[in-house]
Amino acid sequence: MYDFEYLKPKALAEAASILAGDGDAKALAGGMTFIPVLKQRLNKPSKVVDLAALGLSGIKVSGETVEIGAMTTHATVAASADVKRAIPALAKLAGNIGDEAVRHRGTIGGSLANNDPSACYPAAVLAMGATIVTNKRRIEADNYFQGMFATALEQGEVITSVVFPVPAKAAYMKFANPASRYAMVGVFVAKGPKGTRVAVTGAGQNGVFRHKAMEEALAKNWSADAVAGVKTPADGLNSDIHASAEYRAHLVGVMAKRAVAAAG
Amino acid sequence: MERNAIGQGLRRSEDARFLTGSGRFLADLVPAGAAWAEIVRSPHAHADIVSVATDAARAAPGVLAVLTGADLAASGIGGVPADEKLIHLPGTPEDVAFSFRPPFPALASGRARFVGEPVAMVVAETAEAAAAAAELVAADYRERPAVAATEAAQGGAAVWDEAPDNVCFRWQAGDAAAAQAAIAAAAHVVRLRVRNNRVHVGALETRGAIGSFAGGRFHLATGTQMPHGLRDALAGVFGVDKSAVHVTVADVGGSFGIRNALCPEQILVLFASRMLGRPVAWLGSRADGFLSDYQARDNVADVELALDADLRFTALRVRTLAAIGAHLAPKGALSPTANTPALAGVYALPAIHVAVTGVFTNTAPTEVYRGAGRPEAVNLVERAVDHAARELGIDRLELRRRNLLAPAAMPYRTRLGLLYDSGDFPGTLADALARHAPPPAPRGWLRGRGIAHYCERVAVLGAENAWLELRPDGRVTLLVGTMSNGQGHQTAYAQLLADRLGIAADMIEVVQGDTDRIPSGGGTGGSASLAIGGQAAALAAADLIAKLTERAGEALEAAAPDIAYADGVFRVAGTDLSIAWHALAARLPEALSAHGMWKPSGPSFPNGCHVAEVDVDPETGAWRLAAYTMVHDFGTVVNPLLLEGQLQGGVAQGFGQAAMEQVVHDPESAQPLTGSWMDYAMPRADDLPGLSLVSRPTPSPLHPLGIKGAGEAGAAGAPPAVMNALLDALAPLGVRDLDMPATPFAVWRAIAAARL
Repeated sequence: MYDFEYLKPKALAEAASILAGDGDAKALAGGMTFIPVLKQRLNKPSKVVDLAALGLSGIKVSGETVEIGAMTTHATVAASADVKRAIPALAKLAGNIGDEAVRHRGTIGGSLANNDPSACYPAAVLAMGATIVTNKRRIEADNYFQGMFATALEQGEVITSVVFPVPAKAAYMKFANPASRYAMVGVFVAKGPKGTRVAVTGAGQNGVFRHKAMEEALAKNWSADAVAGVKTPADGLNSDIHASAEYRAHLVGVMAKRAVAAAG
Repeated sequence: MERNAIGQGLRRSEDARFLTGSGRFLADLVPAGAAWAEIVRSPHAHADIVSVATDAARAAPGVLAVLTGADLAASGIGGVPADEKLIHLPGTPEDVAFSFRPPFPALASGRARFVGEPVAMVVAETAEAAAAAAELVAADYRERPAVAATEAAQGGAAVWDEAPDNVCFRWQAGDAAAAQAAIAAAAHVVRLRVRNNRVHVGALETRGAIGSFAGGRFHLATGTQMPHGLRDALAGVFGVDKSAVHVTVADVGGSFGIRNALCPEQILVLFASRMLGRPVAWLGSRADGFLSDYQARDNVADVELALDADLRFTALRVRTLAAIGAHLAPKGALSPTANTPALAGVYALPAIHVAVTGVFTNTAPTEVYRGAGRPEAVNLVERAVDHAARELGIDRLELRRRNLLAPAAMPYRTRLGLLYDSGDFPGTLADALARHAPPPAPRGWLRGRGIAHYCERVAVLGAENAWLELRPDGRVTLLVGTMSNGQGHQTAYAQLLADRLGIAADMIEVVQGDTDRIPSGGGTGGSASLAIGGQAAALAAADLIAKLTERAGEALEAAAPDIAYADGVFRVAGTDLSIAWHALAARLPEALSAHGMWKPSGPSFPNGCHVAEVDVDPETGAWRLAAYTMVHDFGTVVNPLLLEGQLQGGVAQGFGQAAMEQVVHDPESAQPLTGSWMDYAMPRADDLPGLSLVSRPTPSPLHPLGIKGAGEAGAAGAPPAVMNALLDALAPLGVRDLDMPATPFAVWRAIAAARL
């Protein structure tokens, strides 16, 4: 680990100002990716700005939305009776991220700011058409994800919460990477206020993406059979030691089919 | 007084310490004032080292020294020593020898031959200063073509100029002519190529070494299974007498064979410490471990199994390519040669021949790992038996029953020279099948069952000594040269001695891991600690009781032959005169010493049968282990809880190799692609069902206590049991072959290929 200055501001404005004023400053949420990266000397920030004291955790459920504070841990989301009632698929997704220790440190805001191409939350956010709320603005999911580890966030912009419109039907199916247990392919299907949407994580070279062909098929006929007939091209999908693009394309189809069946 | 006896499931006395964070692992032992080392490693699999510029690193804050291969060469110290001779078995030519035994300097000089090979060492006041300065060491490399795959070694780029065909050794055993004749005359010959995947051991505690030099003596604190062996090797490296080297080992977080051998960093910290006059600590990171720990397995074997018209085996012939890595590690040639007798398995095999070629590749050196060649051999035979059954259209159980050695055949001399003393192989098979009770398969999944027998030759290390000291407070200290790496030796020895001495186990302290305090030691390996060290301890106990009986005679004014000892009390026969253990100990003017030595006359043969049940999701290739049964014969069981721990861990390791573990290199550049847990898959607890472990002991007739040794058996049987189960499940889809590791991707590919 390289030396850096550690700061734990108590006000959002102060955190944002530090981050805005120093291009080499980095925000620390749960640190489940960032701290290993620091330990391996793969990142050399000038300052690490810990967001833990900004009061950004908590879950608010209204009739139509579930709003989750950016610093809310996966374990909290997974255990929340409100989330389980409103969007059970989201609680289940959170309960299957990483392991117990990761779920008690890792946060939804951290996951979305990092936008790991194999992370689970981006699929839920994109499929349900959630809104990313920051200290500056509200960003629609369709505009937020901009490729592998790339987002619409600007320097000094901090996610404060995520607002999910409550879908009528939703489910997430993950095929775990045998080593990391990140999503080798994860498919989130949702039918709700933002339409019928299918988001795929883990598979795309540019991170999470919407599967338009499946969305069209499901919009016409919400059934496992409808997506089973949609072929996913391997072009643009990842190939690595764990799975070829062709295998991932195949798994997208299987996971989508099973997700629709699970969503009912 | 509480009576502790052989056979009780005593809980591990170590565990309170381990579970509450009060174990003493290497990172807990760094002395105040130690300097810290960081290793600069080659980023290339194969490259000429044109120059190593160290000026900037030397000038960095806190830096005490920067060492390169040139410094070591100038000092005249030796490199990591490897075995000088190949083993002889029946059929091995007298003149068999290494084709090339390359030098293995602790820091590469002139050429780097694998990614992660140490090229320089930086020593600084703090670990952070050392890490920062290591980034300033500027090595200039000229890349060379590299060879990664074992199958590509012969004909690939030469790792060593002296071995243009990349051959380290060619070796054979058995009867080539008999095997050839049997194959030529056979009604059927089934052939199979079996790849044994390269694994990273990934012990919980990463590697490390703390060196110091004072009063003309080296002191190395490190993790190892064989402290005395390491001491002797280091004395050779530094050209000093053994008495000038002191090796100490505290708690060790896992070894599985990989910490047996001397490694470069252990040499480097001692060298730097002597140079700087202060202790030097190197605590390797997980990333260091993935690149530079000795790795294991990695061979490719072509198997031919010949059968007569009645489907009785007539010959087994095996041609193996074994990966040595870029250097010959200390025991790098052992696994593919010395333990090939396990190929004889549990079958009547009238002819066997095995030929092994050890090849260099631009990869980390390979070493012994849990079973050290036995799991590889068992995997070959058991895969071949199932393959033969499928190819010849006979039930696997029927084929086994026709060929299993019967109990009446014991003792049986195999064609690779082993003399099996005992074993009821049809009985263990029948028991295993009777005890195997898998849950129903999920709907739509394919169910498969796999069977694998094993019969291992273990406990073949040399002699072990044990020393006891009884103090006036009645407590006993055992000094023994074996070394626990997490197995629970403290508990096992104390329990065994409690049984022999008639005192409670908690009255016995076990001392291990100190070459100054313990005069000699064979170390731990080959499932031998309890079989050899345990018997040495039992003999020391007998010696102690004999000496105490003399003392009791003095105390009771009786003749020693009239005194009997039982349950902590010495009694004069036919009288009510007696003296208890504590009272007798209290009369001792000083500690009373006793000694025992045991050198086994031959190996023991633990054996058993594994049955694995798998469920495969044919749509994705995902699968899970649904049930697992292992019937085992380890002879006398000292502690069934410790045994169960050994078997659970062993089966998990074997399952891991079958299911997911694999060191992967880029085939062109030989860059490792599995450099962290993100890409190297290690089994987790939830990958395994509860294991059904069934003890069917027959005490070893060759061992005074009847012990056979159990440490490696789980890892030996699990890979073929699991692979045979998968192939059974996939047979309806037309899949006939599958290599380890059977990842979902591999299974899906096999299914897709079978459909074509």
